[in-house]
Amino acid sequence: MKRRLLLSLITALTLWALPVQAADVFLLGFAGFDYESPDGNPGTYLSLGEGYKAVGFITSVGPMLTPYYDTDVNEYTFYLFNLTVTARFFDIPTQLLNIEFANNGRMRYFENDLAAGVNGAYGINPVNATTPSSFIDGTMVLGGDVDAFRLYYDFNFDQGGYSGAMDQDEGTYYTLGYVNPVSGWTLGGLLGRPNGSIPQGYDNQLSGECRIVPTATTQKTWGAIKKTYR
Amino acid sequence: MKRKIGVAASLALIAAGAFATGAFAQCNQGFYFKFDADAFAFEDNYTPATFNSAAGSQLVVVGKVSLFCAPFADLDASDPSKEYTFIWAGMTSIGTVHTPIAGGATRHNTDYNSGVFRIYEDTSPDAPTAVGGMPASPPNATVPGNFFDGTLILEGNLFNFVTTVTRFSNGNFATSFRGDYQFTGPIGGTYYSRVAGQLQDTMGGLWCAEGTANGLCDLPNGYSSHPNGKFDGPPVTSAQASTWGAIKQMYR
Repeated sequence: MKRRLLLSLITALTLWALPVQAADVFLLGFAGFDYESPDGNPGTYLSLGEGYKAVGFITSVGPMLTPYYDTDVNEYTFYLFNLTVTARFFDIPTQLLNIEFANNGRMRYFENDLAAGVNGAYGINPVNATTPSSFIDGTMVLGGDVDAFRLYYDFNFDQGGYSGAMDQDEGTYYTLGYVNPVSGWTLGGLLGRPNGSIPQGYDNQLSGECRIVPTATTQKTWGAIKKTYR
Repeated sequence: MKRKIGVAASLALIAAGAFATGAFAQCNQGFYFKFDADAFAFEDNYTPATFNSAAGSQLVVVGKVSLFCAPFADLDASDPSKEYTFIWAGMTSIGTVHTPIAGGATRHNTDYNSGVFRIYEDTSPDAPTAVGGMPASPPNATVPGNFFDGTLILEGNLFNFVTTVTRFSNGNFATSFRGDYQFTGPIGGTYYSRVAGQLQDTMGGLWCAEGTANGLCDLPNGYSSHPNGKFDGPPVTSAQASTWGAIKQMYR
């Protein structure tokens, strides 16, 4: 009996000591094109006070949204907006542009019936008859506040990237509790110009994703947990 | 008879390239295929804390395609009975250059020598995923091995591959990768025949480096980054209105 107890204890201690690695959780991936609006200084990319927007399509979803994602029936689109340039640094030796935006940008995801709805179409020189309108029709399934949004563009390598912090706070998936947690998501991706498929009037082809690092868990003994409830 | 064959072949190509899967609705943006959650990179001489890839470090990227677009739209990446996996290999780091940038940012830039990529169709899905958990410390029993089993459907060369990790003054990060590629085979393959002869095109995406700050990815031990990106197709040539008579004239 004592031996069995000892073995159980050793097994429990071994399991307790195993490193449990929290992996990031993927919400969704997307691709599309970005543009400046309002674009008060068309000759300069993202001048102070200009607006930054992007439209496009969701390309895949992670486990939280998989049960609700059906591309045979629906089209899934996104719209990033309400981002205003507040600081702009251009480093001449490295040809690197570094842009800061005001908080309270917004990212929204939409579901639209493929047969009955208007399919997303970029057109040219946005804002136009289909952008953003054909990307924001249908049902807004998820949306959130985007803060600390930053963007860089390297004119030597013709590539750039962006990142921001996103808290989900609207849409049917939010209301129904499909996305949990709602705070602490990261929005990140690539900007790239050397791509002939960029429609006239758009700046970059962009792709990216929304993900979150799970909250770290604290390891405790059963004794300590029991003590919490005594 | 020849005309009938030609018409039949054209219809088959149109059907194969455009209307096979519902996911096609999510295309329409200039890329051949995209990968999202399930792509991971590792190197044999990379230091995550400093984003430094030592010169000579070997880079390997493995992943699963999440979406195919024309002319590969008849491949359904969401079909649970199959998986479409890829591996990029043979790329050697030239070394990371760390550069302070105006505005308080820092850029970590790494160039790699040329390499190759291969895409496989596997009817017995066995590649590990982000959801299931990527096994630590690659190379291991399943990484990269389970990403290059099955039938080779496309392969090619990668050139001018460069990764960038930028730290902004607020402590957030933005990351990206970019390269050029060209399909080279497999010669005679169904899918290669649709893109054979095309010149180099671009590939790129997010290069979410290992780390815990905003804009980085908390990855299992041994992985250096999580790419999320796409292989771009050539720009669509604008169409010119014509008549059947004019077209017939071209072939007389």
